[in-house]
Amino acid sequence: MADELESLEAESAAIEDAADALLELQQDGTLDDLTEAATAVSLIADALDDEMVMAVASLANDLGMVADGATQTNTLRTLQTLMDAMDEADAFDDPQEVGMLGAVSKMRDDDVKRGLGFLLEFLGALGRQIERRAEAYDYE
Amino acid sequence: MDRIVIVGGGSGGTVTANRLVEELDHEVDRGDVEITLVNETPFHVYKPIFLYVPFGEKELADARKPLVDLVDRRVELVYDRVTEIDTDGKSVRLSAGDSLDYDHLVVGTGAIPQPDKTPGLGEDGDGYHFYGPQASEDLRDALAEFEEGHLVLSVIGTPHVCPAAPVEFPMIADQWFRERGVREDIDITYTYPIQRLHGVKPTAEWMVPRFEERDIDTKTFFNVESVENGTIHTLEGKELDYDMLVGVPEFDPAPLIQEAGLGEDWMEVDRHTLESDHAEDVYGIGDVTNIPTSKAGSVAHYASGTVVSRIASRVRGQQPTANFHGKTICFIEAGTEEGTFIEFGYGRDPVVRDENKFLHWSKLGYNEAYWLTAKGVL
Repeated sequence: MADELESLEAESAAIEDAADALLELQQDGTLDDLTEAATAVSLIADALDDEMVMAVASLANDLGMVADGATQTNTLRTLQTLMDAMDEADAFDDPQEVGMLGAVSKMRDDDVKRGLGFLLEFLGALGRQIERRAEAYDYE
Repeated sequence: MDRIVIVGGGSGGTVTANRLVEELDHEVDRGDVEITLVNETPFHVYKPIFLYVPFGEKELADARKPLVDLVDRRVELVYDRVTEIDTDGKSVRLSAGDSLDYDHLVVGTGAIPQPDKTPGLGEDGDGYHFYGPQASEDLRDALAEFEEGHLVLSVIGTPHVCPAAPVEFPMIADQWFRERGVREDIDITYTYPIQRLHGVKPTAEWMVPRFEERDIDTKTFFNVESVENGTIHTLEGKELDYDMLVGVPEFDPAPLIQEAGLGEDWMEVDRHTLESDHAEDVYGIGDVTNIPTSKAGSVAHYASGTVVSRIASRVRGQQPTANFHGKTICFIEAGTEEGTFIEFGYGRDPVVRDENKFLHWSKLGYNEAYWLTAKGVL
């Protein structure tokens, strides 16, 4: 008993701080919110199992990998350019039917030439990235 | 141009490569800095998965991913073994015969398990371990057939990687055997070389009541000298019979550390700057170093921030100021349903919290999302 009292006395400052913090939370209503929110935590604890946790974490990992790649400076501005181009060339705005001759004729358009230049650069980069993966993915 | 060469594509090397590109983004794009990562294989291996393989919780495929998918495209990847480091000539030699010159070198070659040097393990022993892909599968097959007898988890080699793994193994095994309905026919004993259950004192204190509750017997001051015919003999003159031995093996650094004069045993570095004690512009990261903390992936991860900052300062002609303070975080699985964690640093002991299922799930979740850590996202 004496030991317990001594131990309590040693911790008195910490106990007082904790009580003050709790009182403040109770007075401003936060404690009520926390108590209610805790029931949602209980629900999660009861509903989840190891497999669900791993599946969600694995999905988060994959999304994180994509997000990380998509937010590289060059990738991000290229994606923004592509999205603006998609918005401008609305696929549902009755696009023209273009045959071989029409395509050749379109090639004289400076904007098409620039877009084609980008696509050719992109194809080159795609080839380099596929080649970079050859050894790891065993398709040399 | 500054050439940065990183040797080793483990946790430390991979995250260092990614963070260097991020930190030196403009310099790399201008062609003023070139970063090369050398790894023996095209794969990064997340070794903590090996602990789960023996219990059928994970497969080996879960432990590895191609480095090319984890490392920034601006890092040159070289798949080869470094055979020599010439710190005077500032170059590393590869087994294919080529050399790579460097201005800054980061060595992250890890700690390599040595079962053949460890009593009871390897070719001449009948013991098992879980510190390699084949070893963890062999242990899985043996455990699946183990339904009665005496299982001994013995920490034989020190220092070893992952300080929590020897604590976790008997606790997971205990619950796993209970779930299989064979625990009553199996005795479990845990042995440790010093006079308490773990090198990290608060962890040792946390273990005592939990091992007692689980009926896991313990032997301390137990330094394995030899293992013969199902009996362990110790330097202290003790003997312990087993039906299945799972040993924590000895670990060594790659021989090139000693050959390059970077350390008589582990790579000798300043514990705060992580710079070599023996060569200029050479940094050590992760398990290969002699820094006074655990050999854990988290140490390599946190240390990489210091190495990256110091190299970036030097590249920019500035005085490096970043220091590492030994930050380490390890999860501890307390069976198959609950876990806890420890966080500590140089001269700072951890507080071990009571185990719960949220921390167990955090560990499982981290195992899945580890790859974001290697990428430097987390």
